[in-house]
Amino acid sequence: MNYVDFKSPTQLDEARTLLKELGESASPVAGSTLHVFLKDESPKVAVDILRLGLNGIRLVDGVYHIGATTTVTDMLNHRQHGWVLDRVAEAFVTQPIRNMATMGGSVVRVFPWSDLPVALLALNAELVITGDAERVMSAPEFFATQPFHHLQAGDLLTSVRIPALVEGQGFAYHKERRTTTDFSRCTIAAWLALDDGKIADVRIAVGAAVPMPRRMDAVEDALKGARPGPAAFEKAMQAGIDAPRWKGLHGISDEYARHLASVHIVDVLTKAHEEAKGA
Amino acid sequence: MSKRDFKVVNQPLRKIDAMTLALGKPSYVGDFKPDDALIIKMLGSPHAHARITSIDISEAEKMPGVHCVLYYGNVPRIVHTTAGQGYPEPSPYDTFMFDSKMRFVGDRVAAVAAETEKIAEAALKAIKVEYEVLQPVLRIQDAMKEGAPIIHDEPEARAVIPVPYEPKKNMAAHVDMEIGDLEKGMAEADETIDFQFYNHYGQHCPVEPHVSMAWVDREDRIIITTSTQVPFHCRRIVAQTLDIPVRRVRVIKPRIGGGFGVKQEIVLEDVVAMMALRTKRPVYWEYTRAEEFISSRTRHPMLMRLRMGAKRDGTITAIGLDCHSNTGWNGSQGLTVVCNSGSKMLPLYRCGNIHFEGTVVYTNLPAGGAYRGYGATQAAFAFESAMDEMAEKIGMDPLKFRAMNHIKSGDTSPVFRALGEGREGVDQAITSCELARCIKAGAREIGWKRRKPHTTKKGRYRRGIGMACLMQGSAIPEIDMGAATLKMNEDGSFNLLMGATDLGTGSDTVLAQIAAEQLGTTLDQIIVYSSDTDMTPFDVGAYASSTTYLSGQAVQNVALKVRKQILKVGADMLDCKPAELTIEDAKVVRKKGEGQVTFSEIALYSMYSANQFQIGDISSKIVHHSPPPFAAHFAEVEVDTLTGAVRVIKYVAAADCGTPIHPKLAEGQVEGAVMNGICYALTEEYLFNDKGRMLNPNFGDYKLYTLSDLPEMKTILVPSYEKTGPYGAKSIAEIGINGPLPAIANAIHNACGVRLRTGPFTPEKIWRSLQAGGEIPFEEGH
Repeated sequence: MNYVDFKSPTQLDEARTLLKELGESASPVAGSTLHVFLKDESPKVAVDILRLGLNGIRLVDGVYHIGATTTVTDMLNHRQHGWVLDRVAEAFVTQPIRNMATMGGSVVRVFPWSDLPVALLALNAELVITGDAERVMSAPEFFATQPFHHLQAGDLLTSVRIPALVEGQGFAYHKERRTTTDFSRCTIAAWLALDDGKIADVRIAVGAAVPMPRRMDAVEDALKGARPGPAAFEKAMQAGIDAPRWKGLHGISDEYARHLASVHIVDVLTKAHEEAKGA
Repeated sequence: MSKRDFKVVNQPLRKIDAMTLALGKPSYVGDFKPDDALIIKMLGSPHAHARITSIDISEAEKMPGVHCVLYYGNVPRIVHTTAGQGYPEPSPYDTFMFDSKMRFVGDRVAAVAAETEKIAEAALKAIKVEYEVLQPVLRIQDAMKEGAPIIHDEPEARAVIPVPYEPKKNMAAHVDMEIGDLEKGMAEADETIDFQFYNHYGQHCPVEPHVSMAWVDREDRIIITTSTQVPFHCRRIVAQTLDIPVRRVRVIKPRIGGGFGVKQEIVLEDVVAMMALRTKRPVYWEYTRAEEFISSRTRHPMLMRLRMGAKRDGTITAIGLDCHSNTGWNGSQGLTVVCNSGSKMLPLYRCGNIHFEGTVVYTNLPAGGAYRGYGATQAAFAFESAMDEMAEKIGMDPLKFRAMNHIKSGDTSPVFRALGEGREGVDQAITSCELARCIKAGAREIGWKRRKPHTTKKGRYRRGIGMACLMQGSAIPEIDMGAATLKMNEDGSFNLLMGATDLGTGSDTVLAQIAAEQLGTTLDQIIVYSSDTDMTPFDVGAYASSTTYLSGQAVQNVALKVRKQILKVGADMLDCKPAELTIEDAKVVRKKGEGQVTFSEIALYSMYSANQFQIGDISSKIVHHSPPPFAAHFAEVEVDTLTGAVRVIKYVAAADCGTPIHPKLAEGQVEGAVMNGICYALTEEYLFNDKGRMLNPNFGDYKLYTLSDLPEMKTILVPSYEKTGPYGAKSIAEIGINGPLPAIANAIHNACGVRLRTGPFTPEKIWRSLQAGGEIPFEEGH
């Protein structure tokens, strides 16, 4: 990125007005950790959004509201009933990057290795965009394409909402990588809810080895109403594993990427089930 | 002196440059870049094998801010080697500053020196080049085929020492050696094995990439400040490539941010020197990380065939090692690296029938060079994997099999004479070897007794333990030379001037410890200045595990000479004979009775009072032995049999380096080398497309461990006393990298029965091997 000026508004409206006026010549910046991957060399004005009061994690009526500029370190350190994003934050590269990277920056532009979009899909998140009017998008809707396409000049993602985990529910997340700083080769998240010993609801999302993070609908459908266990998880995985086109990254074959996903879908379901059982 | 009397040596003292570096004071080449330095950027070839049919630099030359454009049409065409080795070099002369023939993706097309990096990059884009694209040679086996494209078809390519060199067959070097009769030994064996192994590309990954700057002083001399391991070789080769006398070149090495062998090569200095001459401006060139991967140097990939025969009682009857080394686009260090594959592993186990053959071939891929381990790393993988396989075949514990066969103190090996560095070697007997104690200590630490066969293991996650034994060398006998100058100051301190090159290893501290110990003073009284070709005496540089052993002896010798001078002046002052005196705590004292003078009083006396002279001397050292350090490495791993993922649970390295002059630095060398080796074994991998372009030249895609990936590591220094070394010391810098590849391969086999013969041990490779019942068909990799 080629920043030629830096603006530091303190009010959301002020920031939005600036971004609207400057249009494509401006870019909102928070942690800036992704900028190293952006090849755009056109002159830009950086509009700092860190002073707008968009950071923080609040639990309101069983739903977590995570401000767009909340850092991954804040997500890692947060401890409250039903909070699960610490498990995702832990896998988020290194501490210096966790200290800078934010929720908003990590989801408005999706890279193959992105952690949070996969988790948000499994957690049925809602994403709040503040423009001339406030809009709320579901995670599948938001991640159906590169999310920045949803944002017009002056629009800002201001918060993300996820329901807190309650009794009878479980969540698990796995990121397959060679080292702690590695890009993910396959990312899987699963959320499930039990009712009377059966799977009442389930969401499985995958990333990295597919073009965009996505839900595994066929696997979910095969599990709903089923009695959970290794056989059911394996059978469901088999039912849906070939829905996406698996793509091996960083030297691995497509076949191995599919295999990794098949193993870890079962793994995360098993872990989520354990949690839902209260184990 | 008894080894128990050490006061400075064998102590973990504060590194003499520790505070300078910790406080971030200017230390490295980049810290000294003049504000008015021109920036150099290089246009690299987009083709692995091509001929430039036309090149037009006129638009680039006209651009404002551009001061010079160099290409093959406007520089001298002088064939040379980029290898920083002793003269005459064992590496072939096959390189030019610029050439019209492109031999790898990234090869030098043209260089620009401009006011800013942006201008230089814009100028590169303005250079118009047309190529005749030739068929690239991307594999060892393809390079050797009849009718393969010839990579070095230039008439100037030649070997400068009498060794086989056939560029028309893409053969950069060849060596063949037989002791006894391999086939007879194989016939005598109860069990035989015959396997192929492949060592992959790997890069040194110094934090500081190659970086050099140069300027021309008022006497028209070129002053080069560069991150190099070989300042004196650099001076000689730069003078050669520019066709100017050596006296017109001065090379200064400041602190180095890591080398590991990659800076034993003249990679940037010829161009910065030429640019400085042409522009009369300071010039600065720093490789990008991508250039460091592609255009600097790598570990030579090797295709190996290893044959071994043994009797059921554990006697090894035959060893055959056939190495085909990929030296890439130039032959730098190719011969000597492959010689080391034989000479640093074959003597490790007693055997009367040995055959070794090394063939070095050119390909259109990045060039191999010196890299920590230097051929021994490659051979250790094949050798130590084979030791486990043979042990399994004859039904013997692999530890016991190694323990009964390894070389011991007092032993010799005909390999020492038969295989040197590009020429015949030197007879030597082992005068210090504590490998047996290394094996015992390491086995105890890893818990070898609980090791069970893989066939007894069940479940998804399976653990295994593997081991490897290793040896290296300490300097190159009858070739390497080091020297040191020592002079005394009025306050009793000393200037120690050395050609030896501290590349981040702490050798300045280690050598100062040796001087202080010999002089009878403290470390803070030694002022070290090293690696400046105008100011310090000659030293071959930092390579071949030589600095402590070789340069250390030069320092010890000069300190001994100065000690004698001090005693003589002290005797004058105390009116007695030198033999009646000794040195204690920087004072000359009478052995019997009263009377003492301090070092400061002695210095002042010799400078200002009577019989005036500068207390000081110079000493050179060439070594006649290369005493090997030894090591036993043990790895415990856990394999996820569903995905093939491997986790190193614990790694134990027990090493005999003689007397560790600085135990903490010695441990650091072992730990750094082991981490280096673990990454090479598990994660490091050059990915190429089918046209020879590297696909992952960055740290995002070429993966190294960081401290957060560090497994539990235990380093055990098992002391011995090497009587030919300074205070009993041998080397330690390289040996540690040779262990992880075989130890982890053996541990993976012990965990799940998979035998891996090509690195790196990726999860996919292990998963496929598990699917195939333990082994996948062998194929040459990259």
